[in-house]
Amino acid sequence: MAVRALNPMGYPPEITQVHMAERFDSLSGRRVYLVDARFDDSDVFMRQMEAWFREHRPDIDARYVAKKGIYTQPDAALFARIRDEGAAAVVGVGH
Amino acid sequence: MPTASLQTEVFREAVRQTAWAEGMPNERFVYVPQPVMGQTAERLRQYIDGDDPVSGRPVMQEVIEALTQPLTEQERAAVRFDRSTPQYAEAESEEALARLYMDNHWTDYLPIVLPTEERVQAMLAGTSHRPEEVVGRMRPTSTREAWQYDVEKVAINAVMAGARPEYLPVILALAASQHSARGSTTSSAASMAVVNGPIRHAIGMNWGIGALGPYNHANATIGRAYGLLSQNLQGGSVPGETYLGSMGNNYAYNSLTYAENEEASPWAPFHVRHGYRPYDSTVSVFGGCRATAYLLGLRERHWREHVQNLLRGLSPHTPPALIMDPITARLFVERGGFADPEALEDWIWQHATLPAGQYWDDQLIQNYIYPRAENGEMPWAAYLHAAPGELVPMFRREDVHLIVVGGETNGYWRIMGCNYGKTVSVDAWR
Repeated sequence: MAVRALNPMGYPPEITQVHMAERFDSLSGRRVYLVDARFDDSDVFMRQMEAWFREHRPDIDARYVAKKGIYTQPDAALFARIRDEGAAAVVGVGH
Repeated sequence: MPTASLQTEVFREAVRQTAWAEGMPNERFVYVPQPVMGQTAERLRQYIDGDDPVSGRPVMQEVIEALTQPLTEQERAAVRFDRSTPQYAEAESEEALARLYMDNHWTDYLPIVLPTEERVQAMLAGTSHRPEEVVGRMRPTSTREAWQYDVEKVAINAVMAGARPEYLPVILALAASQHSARGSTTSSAASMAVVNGPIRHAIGMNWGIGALGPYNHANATIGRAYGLLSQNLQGGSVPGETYLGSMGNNYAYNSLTYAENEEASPWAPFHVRHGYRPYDSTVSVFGGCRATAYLLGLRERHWREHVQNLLRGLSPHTPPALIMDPITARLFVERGGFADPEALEDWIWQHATLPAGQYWDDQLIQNYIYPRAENGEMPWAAYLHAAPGELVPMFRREDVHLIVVGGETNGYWRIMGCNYGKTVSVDAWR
C-alpha cells in the first residue's frame, strides 16, 4: 500500500506572459544602449563592449550607460530615455 | 524593445528559471565566462571577442542576432504556465517516500520526519490559527518571485524538522517575518534567530551553556524548521537554480537559533530595546551571517584597540552584532562604563572606521552602497567627498546590535557580521 504525506512546497504566483518585441532586420544606423547593470566589474565589461562596437560595427550607434542605484533596482528615468531615444538594449553583466 | 541579456555562464539555470517566472520563457540570453569580478579590461575584452561558453558561438555574433533575428514561431506563441502544487506526495514505502523528499530538494539531507496528515494535524494543535490562514510570502532574493504560504504549510515543514507542537508559534513567527533563511546570495549567507520573553521558558529553550550548539531540542528543531520552511515555501533552494552560494554555509543547518540570556544580562532584553514589553514573547531575525570574530574578555589597558581590530576584520557591508556571554556584557559595563547598551552601540559605531579610500574601493561597497550614495542617500552621500585618508564609519549607527547569551563558563564573546531584519511577536501566533 502506498504511503502518503503532505507536500511542503508553498504556492507560486500566477505568471503573465510578457511578449517579446519585434526585432530589426539590421541595427545599422540605429542606437543601441549598452546598459551597465552595476554588478561587480560590469562597468569595465560594458565599456569594452562599447569599444568592440566602435572597432567592428561603427555603423551602429552603441552607447554605454550606467544604471542608477544598485543592480536589483530599476532605473525608471534611464529606461524611459532608452525607450524614447534608443532602438535596442544590451544589458549586462548579470549573475 | 529588442533586448539582449548578458549573463555569466554559471547562472544559466537561475536566469532561465527567473525569466520563465517573469513570463519571458524565451528571453534571449548571451553567456560569458565567470568571473567578471576582478578581471582586467584586457581579460574582459577576451570574453567579448571569444565564444559563448554555453552555445559555443561567438559572443558578439549572438548579441547582434539576439537583437536582429526575427522572432520564431515558438517565441511568438502563447505559453501556458502550469504551476499547481500537488497536495500530497506518495511512494511505495516510508523509505521510498523519504528518498522522494530528498530527491525533490525538500530536505537539508538529514533524516526528516515524514509529514503525514496525522502528524501535521497534531502539529496544528500548537496554534489557534486556522490551517488555511495566509502567513506570508517569501523569496530567495529580491529579484525573484515570492511564493505564498499558509499555517498548514508552515506546520508541514515544522513536522519535517522534528519540532514539537508547542514550538509552532515561534516557527509561525519566523515564517511571518517573511525573511528567508535560504537566501540565494553568492555570498553564502545564513540567518540567525533570537528568541526573547516567557516562551523561552515555556518550551525549554537554551540560553546558557552551549546555546548556539547542538544541545537543545527546541533550539535545534526551531532553527531547522526555519531553514526548511524557507527553502520550501519560497519555491526552492537548489544549488545552481535557486541557491548560488559559492561555498555554502554551515550556519544554515539551524540558522543560529537560540534564546537570549535575559536573566544574566546587565541590560534590558533585545526585544524590549526594540519596542516590546518584557512579558512579550518574540523572535528576532538577522540575515547575512557569514563573518565571525571572537575575543576573550576585555583587557584593562587595550580593550578598545582589541575591539577595534575585530571590527576592522568585518566587511564594511555587513554590520556587527555583538554576541556576548554575560561575563563579557558585565565587563563592558564595569570596564567600559556602558551601563546603557545604547552607549556601547554608539561606541562601536564611532570606532568601526576605515579610511575613505579603502572604504569606497571595497567590492561590496561598490556594488551595494556607492550607487545609493550617488543617489543622495544618507549617511553614505556625506562620505563621498571625504579625502582618501579620512576615517569614515564602516556601518550605520542603527545597524549595530547587542545580544547576551551563554552559560558563563568563561567570558568569550564574538562579533557576527549580520543584518537585523525584524522582531516578530510569537504571542500573535499562539
